[in-house]
Amino acid sequence: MRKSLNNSKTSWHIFKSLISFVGLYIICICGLLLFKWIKSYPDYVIPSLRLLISTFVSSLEIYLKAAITTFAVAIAGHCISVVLALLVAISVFFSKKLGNILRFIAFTIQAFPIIAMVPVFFIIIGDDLRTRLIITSMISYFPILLTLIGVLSEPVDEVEHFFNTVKKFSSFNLIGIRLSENLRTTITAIIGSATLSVVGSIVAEFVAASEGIGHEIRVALNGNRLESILVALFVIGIFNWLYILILEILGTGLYRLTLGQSMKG
Amino acid sequence: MKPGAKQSLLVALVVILAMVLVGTFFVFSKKKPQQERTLRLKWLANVGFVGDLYADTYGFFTEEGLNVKVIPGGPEHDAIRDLQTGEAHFGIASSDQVVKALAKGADVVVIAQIYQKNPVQWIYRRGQFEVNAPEDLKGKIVGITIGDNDENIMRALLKRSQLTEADLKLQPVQYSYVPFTTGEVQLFPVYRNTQGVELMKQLQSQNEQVGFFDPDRNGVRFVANSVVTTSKLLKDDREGVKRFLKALLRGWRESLNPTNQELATNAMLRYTQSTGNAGADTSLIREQIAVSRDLVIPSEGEKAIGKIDVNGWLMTEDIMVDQKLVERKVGIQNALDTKLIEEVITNK
Repeated sequence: MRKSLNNSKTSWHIFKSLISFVGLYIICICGLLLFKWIKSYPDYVIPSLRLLISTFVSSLEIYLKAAITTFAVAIAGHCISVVLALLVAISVFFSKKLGNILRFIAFTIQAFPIIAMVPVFFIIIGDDLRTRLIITSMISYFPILLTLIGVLSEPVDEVEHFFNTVKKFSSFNLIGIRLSENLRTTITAIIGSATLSVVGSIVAEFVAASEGIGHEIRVALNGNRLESILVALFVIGIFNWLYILILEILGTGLYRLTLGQSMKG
Repeated sequence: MKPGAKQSLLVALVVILAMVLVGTFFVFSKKKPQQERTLRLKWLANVGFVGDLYADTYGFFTEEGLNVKVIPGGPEHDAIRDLQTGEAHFGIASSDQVVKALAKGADVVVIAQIYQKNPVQWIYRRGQFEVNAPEDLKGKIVGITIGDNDENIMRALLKRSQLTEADLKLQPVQYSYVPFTTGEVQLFPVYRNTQGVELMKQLQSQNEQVGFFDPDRNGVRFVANSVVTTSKLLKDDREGVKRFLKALLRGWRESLNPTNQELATNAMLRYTQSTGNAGADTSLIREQIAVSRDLVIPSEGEKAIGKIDVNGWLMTEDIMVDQKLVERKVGIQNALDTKLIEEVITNK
């Protein structure tokens, strides 16, 4: 009974957030059309509703396929950034010397605007998947790194004291304890950086790749086709919403699981 | 105060007032009221716009009583869009932009055609192969910028030569030369008078010889940069538009005249350095200007710079309809103001 109530609550939450997104998109489009009408702009500047709908029908499939490519890179890049941030944070935790060096490198890299460095990557590595993955992960890793360093340096006194007294304690236990005790914060940072990884993937495609939704936007921009850009934005929004939703569901599940295990323990 | 002194003071006041009035009259009558106008270039300031920048640098617009602000374009700017929103009064736009804009109901009129030959060509390394005719493209990897006019030109050329995409490989590229320098593509689209010269010089410094494949020579007439404005401005201030055009075309004539090479180079340096390209090379600019002459000056001579090639426009429109870039013909001939340019050329 309680489980089905929870399920219907989750479904309602999903439905509500989808409606909010679509509603916001429609409001923005209406605002744009109103602006077009007030200023008497031709379709060349702001597309008419008819043009927008016909573009939606004719190019939705192309943009859906392009978005799949983009999000595949974004998700892969996001995973790399999580692993990378975790490795750096653990290194900082274990060895002060190595950790300081790694932390210095990680912070220094962040001082350079990655977007400005994108063309350099394309020149050095070429316009293939590797470059797009590097850009995506570099844009999204920093918030996760900061959170993980914070989480691992924050003692959980009560739990750590218990393990200390029963002498079942190693550095890995300590990492596990601190991570699980601050799981909500870590999950929030990972979800927050998901949008950044999507931005990274799109920027990389926009600059030099020959596939993906960023590339499609660049092509539409070349032809001054705002209607295509608006359709592409809708598709990006839907995919992004879906990605964040999946991460939230996974995060909540993981949190409940950890909570359940610690209750049992 | 004595009555005589009062009278003298009054006379002095009248004289001063008269002097002020006369002075004001002279000051304002000497200075023509200047019209504020904005010209949006199609791309960043480079030799492709040497005439526009020359006219601005040496005050040709001011001489015509216009205060013209020349602003560079870029990937996110569109001169025709600026005309519609009132951000600009004049613009430099390519023919495909004009046709697409007309198809979407924009108010745009072509008042001069700067390039008589399209500068879009394909650069390739000589030695391994030569490309003189479309058939020579068979089996090659050819770069195209998807959505840009080089794509339209290449597709039109293939169709005209009865070649299909299966005969060669069309590889999407963007503005970076890397795919060409690394050999990923064998033929790379360039603007012959700007990127073409730059790349050629780079490769020549490494003892590599290059060639250019020119679709224009192979029958594809796809009009390039032209000067555009709105029919509203033409209707409201035809004389002002004419004065603008007069100054602009004078800029092109003088900048391409070999005797003004130094002046034209200096005008370009002023712009390129102001956009952060401090290392702009004078010899490169000179060479770019020299190549531009062949693309801009019509067969009738430099006096006819700016003439509108109506047949070229009709062919451009046909290509765009054929490639489904626009649904139907837009009646391009109605958007070409050939009379105004004739008046300017013949100085009527």
